[in-house]
Amino acid sequence: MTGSEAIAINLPYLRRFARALTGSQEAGDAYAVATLEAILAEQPPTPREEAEAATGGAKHALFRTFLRIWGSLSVNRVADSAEALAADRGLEAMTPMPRVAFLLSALEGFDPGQIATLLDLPETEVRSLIDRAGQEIAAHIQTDVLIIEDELIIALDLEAVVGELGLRVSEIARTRAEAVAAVARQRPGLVLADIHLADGSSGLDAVNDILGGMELPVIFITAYPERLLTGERPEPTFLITKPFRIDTVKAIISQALFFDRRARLPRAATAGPV
Amino acid sequence: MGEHDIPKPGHTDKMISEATANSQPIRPAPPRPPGMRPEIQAQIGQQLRAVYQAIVNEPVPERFLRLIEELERKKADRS
Repeated sequence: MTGSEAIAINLPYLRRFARALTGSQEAGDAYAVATLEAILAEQPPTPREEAEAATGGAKHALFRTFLRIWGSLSVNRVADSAEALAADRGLEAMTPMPRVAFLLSALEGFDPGQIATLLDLPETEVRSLIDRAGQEIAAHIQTDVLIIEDELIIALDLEAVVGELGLRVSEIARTRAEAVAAVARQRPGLVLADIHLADGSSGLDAVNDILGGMELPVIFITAYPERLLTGERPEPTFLITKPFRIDTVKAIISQALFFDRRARLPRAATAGPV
Repeated sequence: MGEHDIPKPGHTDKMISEATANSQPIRPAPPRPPGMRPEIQAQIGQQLRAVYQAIVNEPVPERFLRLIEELERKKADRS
């Protein structure tokens, strides 16, 4: 494989990374074009550079040139409204270096050692940038959480998980009526809901009541997923089956909030009278 | 006539300035702020790949192809 073939193969990933990093395809492509122009203008690689490229891989070499240019050139981050994805808002909320480290690691799959050579930083610094990224994401998704759960032990488990992500639990509701009352007192930014509640009421009905007045991310946590799958359910909904793993709950909460996946009532429910 | 110890002017000022100089308050380490561990970040990364999948799949824009052709030519000229 020639050098230019290797560049052609890795170019789509560079464009993706540049798009995520800069917030718009236009700005991202401007950097990617500048990267290829820089490679074109470069002297033929020295044996040492060729050896480095061979160990790091062609993707590594291409990204290294890109990052050198990104660090030296300032293209304004202009949010492209047509592409105004929630992901952009999440990424925009991060400071530049943690954002780069996060994207190189989580999006492009480079390990901390490779990122260290890409950014010319010690690996310990890369690890602390990735930690900072985690803290900045947590700060960005910061919100109040309503837990609808009649089993106290599970509710307290969920409260602990939510706390570890830096989120606050506004209230724990045990019934449909309590959930509706809790939302009237304080509007949450996320609902975690069991379906089968102690007084025979349904968490799904509670969520549909809440979604009559607002749109917000909803995660159902239930031992009876069939009740959700067969019922009139809001879209999109996240489902976690009991017994759950704490990391699963954390991952799904993070995704629901980072991508701002707000649930809406199903069409049939919004069309008719409530 | 009684004797009174009247401190000389300037004496107390010196004492105060010595007491406040170089004082460093000792603070406990702040609690670790909540954050997303790399494993959770990786899950967000996976979702990001889905969000940006179209970019990877779409044909490479013309101006990139021209630059790659130029690279090919330049390499051919050298050898």
